[in-house]
Amino acid sequence: MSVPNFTQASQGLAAMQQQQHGLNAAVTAGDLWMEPDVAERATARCEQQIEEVESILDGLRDLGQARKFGDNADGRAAAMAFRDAAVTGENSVRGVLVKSQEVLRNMAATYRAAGRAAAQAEQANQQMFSGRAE
Amino acid sequence: MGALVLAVTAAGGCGQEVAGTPNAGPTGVGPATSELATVDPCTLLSDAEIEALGFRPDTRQPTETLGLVGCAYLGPPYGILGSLSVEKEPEETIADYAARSQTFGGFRQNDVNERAGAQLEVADDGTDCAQMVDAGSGTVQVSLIIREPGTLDPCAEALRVMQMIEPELPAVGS
Repeated sequence: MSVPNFTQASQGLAAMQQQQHGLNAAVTAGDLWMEPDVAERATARCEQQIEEVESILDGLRDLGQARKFGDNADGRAAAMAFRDAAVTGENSVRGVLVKSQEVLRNMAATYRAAGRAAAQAEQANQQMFSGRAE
Repeated sequence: MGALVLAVTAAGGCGQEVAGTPNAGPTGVGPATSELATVDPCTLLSDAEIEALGFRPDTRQPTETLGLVGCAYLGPPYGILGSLSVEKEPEETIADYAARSQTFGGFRQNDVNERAGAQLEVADDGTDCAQMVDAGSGTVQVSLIIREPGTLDPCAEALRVMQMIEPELPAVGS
């Protein structure tokens, strides 16, 4: 029996992860900054999405337990294949969702850093101008 | 139970009282509703209890998956995002789950306050566990999911929660 997997979704996530690394590098290099309140809202949205994914993961567990395929050899094989695709397999839905949470967590950290960079730049400017005024 | 008295009014204006117990007849849906039907899994834990367990009452989310009905809560127990669910399954008993136990990551029968129960893991990496007990016509279940294996034992925690709510559950078969 062929077991469906979510390799393509996993690859899509890897591409997103690459983009996030690029964004992070731009923030670290000082090429990208965000107004602190914008960064705060973007961070909050990422954190909200992490929780939304967690709720999906919770439902996925129920699915793995409640799904009945029949009390015979074929039914049991189908149940195992379903569990593998949903939860335990290398490219299972759960694996992809957990990875997406990691990407979102990194994005939140990047936005937070971009907001901090803007705040620090603003503070440095203020110090510079107040120094000149004296 | 005393006989019910039903008033039946015919279109012709005749009225008569018929003594007897309502009967669903051959097209009925079976026996009287199980006491489990009156149990609301979403109220088995108070907000204070949910908070004390490390979860957030404001994240309460109704759940309904293939017969499992209840509520789920998110929270960072010990700082790691996870979820706690309290649900009922009106049709499946511990024996039904035991019959297909080999399709789960783990399944062990146990007792909770002298009530027949079982612990069921969907994955086999220590990140999820449901403690279920027989109640009414089916089961009531407490499930825990954590992200980091080894940070806590989800089966032990689910058992602890079940011990808290078990006294509120209807008798088996009622």
